[in-house]
Amino acid sequence: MAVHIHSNLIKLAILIIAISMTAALSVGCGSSAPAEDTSGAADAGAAAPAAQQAAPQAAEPAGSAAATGSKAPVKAPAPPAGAMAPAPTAKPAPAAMAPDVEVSSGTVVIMNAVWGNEIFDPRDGVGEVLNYGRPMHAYWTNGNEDLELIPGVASDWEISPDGLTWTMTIREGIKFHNGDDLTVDDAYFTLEDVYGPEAELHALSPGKVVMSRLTEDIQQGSDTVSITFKQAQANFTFLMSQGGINTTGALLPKNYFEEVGRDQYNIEPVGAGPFAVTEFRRSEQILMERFDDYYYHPGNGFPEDRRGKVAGLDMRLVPEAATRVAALRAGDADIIEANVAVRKQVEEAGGRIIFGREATYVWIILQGCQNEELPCNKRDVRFALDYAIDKEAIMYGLYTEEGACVCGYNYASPSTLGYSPDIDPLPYDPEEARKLLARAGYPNGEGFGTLNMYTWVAGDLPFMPELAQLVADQWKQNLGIDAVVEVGDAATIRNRWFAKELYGGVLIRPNETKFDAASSLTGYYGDFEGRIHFGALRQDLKDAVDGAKAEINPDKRQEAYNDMYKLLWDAHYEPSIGHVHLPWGVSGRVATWDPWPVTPYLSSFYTITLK
Amino acid sequence: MQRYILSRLVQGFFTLWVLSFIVFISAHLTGDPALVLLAPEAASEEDYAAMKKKLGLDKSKPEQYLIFMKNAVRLDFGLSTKDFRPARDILLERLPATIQLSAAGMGLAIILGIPLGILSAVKRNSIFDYLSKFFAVIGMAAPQFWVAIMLILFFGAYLKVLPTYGRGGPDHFILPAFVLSWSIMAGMVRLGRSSMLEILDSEFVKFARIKGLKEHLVLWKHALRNALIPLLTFSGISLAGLLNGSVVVEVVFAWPGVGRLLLEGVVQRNFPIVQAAVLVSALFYIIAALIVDILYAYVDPRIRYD
Repeated sequence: MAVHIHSNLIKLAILIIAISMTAALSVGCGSSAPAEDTSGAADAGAAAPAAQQAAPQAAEPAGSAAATGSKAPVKAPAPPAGAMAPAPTAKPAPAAMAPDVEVSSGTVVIMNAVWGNEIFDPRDGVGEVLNYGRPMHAYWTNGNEDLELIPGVASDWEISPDGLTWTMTIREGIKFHNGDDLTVDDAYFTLEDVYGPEAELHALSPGKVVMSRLTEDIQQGSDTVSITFKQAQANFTFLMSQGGINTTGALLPKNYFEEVGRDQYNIEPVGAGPFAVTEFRRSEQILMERFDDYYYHPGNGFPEDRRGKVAGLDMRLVPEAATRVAALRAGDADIIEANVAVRKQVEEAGGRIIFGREATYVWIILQGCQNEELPCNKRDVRFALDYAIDKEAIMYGLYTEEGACVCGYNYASPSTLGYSPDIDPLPYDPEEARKLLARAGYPNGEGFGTLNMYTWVAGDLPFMPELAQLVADQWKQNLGIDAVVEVGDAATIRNRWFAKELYGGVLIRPNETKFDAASSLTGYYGDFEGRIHFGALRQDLKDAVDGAKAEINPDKRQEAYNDMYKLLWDAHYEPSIGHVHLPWGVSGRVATWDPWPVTPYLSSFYTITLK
Repeated sequence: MQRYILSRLVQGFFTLWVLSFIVFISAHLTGDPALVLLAPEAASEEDYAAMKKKLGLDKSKPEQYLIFMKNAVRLDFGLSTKDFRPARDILLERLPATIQLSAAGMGLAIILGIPLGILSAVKRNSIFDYLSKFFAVIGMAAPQFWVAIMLILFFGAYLKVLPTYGRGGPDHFILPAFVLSWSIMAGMVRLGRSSMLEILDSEFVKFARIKGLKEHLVLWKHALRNALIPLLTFSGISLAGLLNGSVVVEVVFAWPGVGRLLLEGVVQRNFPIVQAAVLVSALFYIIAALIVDILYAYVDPRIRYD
């Protein structure tokens, strides 16, 4: 039977498909141009400027007094981050002549796995926004590789004797990317936006909601802005720093922000940082170009030049690790989030691995130990579990000796506030572990029951399931405990954690190291009403945390934090196995880059130079 | 025909309604987004309650569903819990990338898959036939993730002739479109081959040959047109699938499309995004299926809907 076909219709269908494909390709051609050719960065051959190698000093710009004719600047000793800084008093010259700096014509292609919520304003940015928030914004205070707080937009700051009020003096001569001057109006506007009453109602970041609730008053002076809290916030300047843990300390351009509104601002953001955003494609690409008028350079009296040494940044969101490595090998990327397992591949392509030191720690949290029926209620059990872990074998086996450090106590690493070697991890001693477990009433793990361990595949730290399994194996082998690892997805386990469903078990997860962990510790030990808490609701631990956090004397903060950590270490609700250095894959095209330690996400962009 | 289309539309709406219910329930079973959004160290029970209220999760589930449905009819899927932007806008931002990639993938599948299948049947049991079948088997069996990484490494990192990731010029389409289309292409090769073989064995083809028609006329005019009918169905449904986004391809190639958005939404418990993406995907399927059915009636006169 002959079948009659409407041949014209078939032709039409084929034609439509062909046209759609052609259209797609042509649209594709017109969109999202690939990163500009970055191969010709010949002029970057100059070695890293001396400023990159010299440690920045926590002093007011030296040249400022000469330029203004005012009194000589006070060379204040570097205050520890978050401390009440005896800040310098002299003001820098506004927009002094900028000395030449060698700038490569190349653009650096940087690949991240995650970008947070892709919001540029400091009130609502959550998650990994610092990856692009650091280069595009100017911050109230700056950090450096020695983890000191140094002046930024705030040329000076002081805290009232009761620790409640911070007063920041706003530097003159800073420009936003759109050419507007950064004034005290902008500073006041930003502080109101981030910590004012509206933030409590509308901020996306839960941290801002809480801080807004704690804010009593914000005032504007002729060249100062002050903020008063209901409780002492000794770590305020750390929270507002470029080296902090999110973009809270970024400054907004009031006029532009009000003119375009928050939504549009987050599409076409304007900051005052060393790089200006020129194009933003959500979840895909952020193009930035060097901002020539960035204020932080010797011409303005600063001890080093923190302007960009490259023409621009091409930031890409590439979730898959294998793709990032392939891109680096192909020459399509210069700096990528990596892991030590790909070192060989990176090196074969002429690149290298650079570590952001002490960026993350492996966090082992015993759950619900306030319950007297749980084994972990007994201190001997907590110590037994810790002694039974061969930390060096696990950490160095998984992350290499170069990539990890069996040191510190969770929140505290050698570079953070409050560290001392007394709080380093316990040695591996299975004999002692067995003895303690028997003394607690569980000889050879008898009567201990099943110990459920929870972890997830973490984007920011590889090998978490493997690490948890190794710990479980050692607990089985050394203590006879039936430890079972459950690998889930992060959100589900976090939900169960917050809902207190992990009680009796152990949570193993990575966490970012903070120079000043006060805000975290307040929640975990200092708030018995909070949704999660560690430390079996012990008043002595709560007092220690609250006391350390409230210490505003910079000379006493290190000691106060150290005392607090010693107490937490002694209580041992969180066995500690060490810190991991965050590995970045860097292509051979990059001559220098020195990321700051204990600083999550990309940092110190001014040290990036190209060959 | 009009009655048929109307009845299919009614069926489509019913399917969407059932799906919306399933999606709503399953999304809510995966956990509480308020818990995901709050930082544990900073949030109290009060904050938790406030966040639930902000997200509209403080209401009863039936109430939430009714609100969701009422808004969904207006294509308002609520605000993304990631950045509190309208889920619809976010979806619309991602759609072009997926449409471009889908069109390129589909085009490639058709351009390569159909001729390979047809020629494979015509040159049955030849080297060409074996190679085509081998190509099809690998395309169906090889995991997309592995294929994508291997191609990136070979063409991007080793030969350095194609970009390794992302959107851009035409060359950026080649690898992701190929990976996306390979399994579809494989299906087309297999389906085209078997369909063509069946047609070539049919009475009307034998009759055409007996009649003395030239072989190329028999093949390309009579046989091919009939062999294309099942391929048309397959293509339509495959295109709808591609438009829903391929999670694997979009993640591996850093392609900012709907598939990646859906994955991010699931991981972040971003209900509005998940619901919007799934419902729009379902809509694509229903429309594609309807169009294919209508076209089918035109291309195959044996089919009558009246």
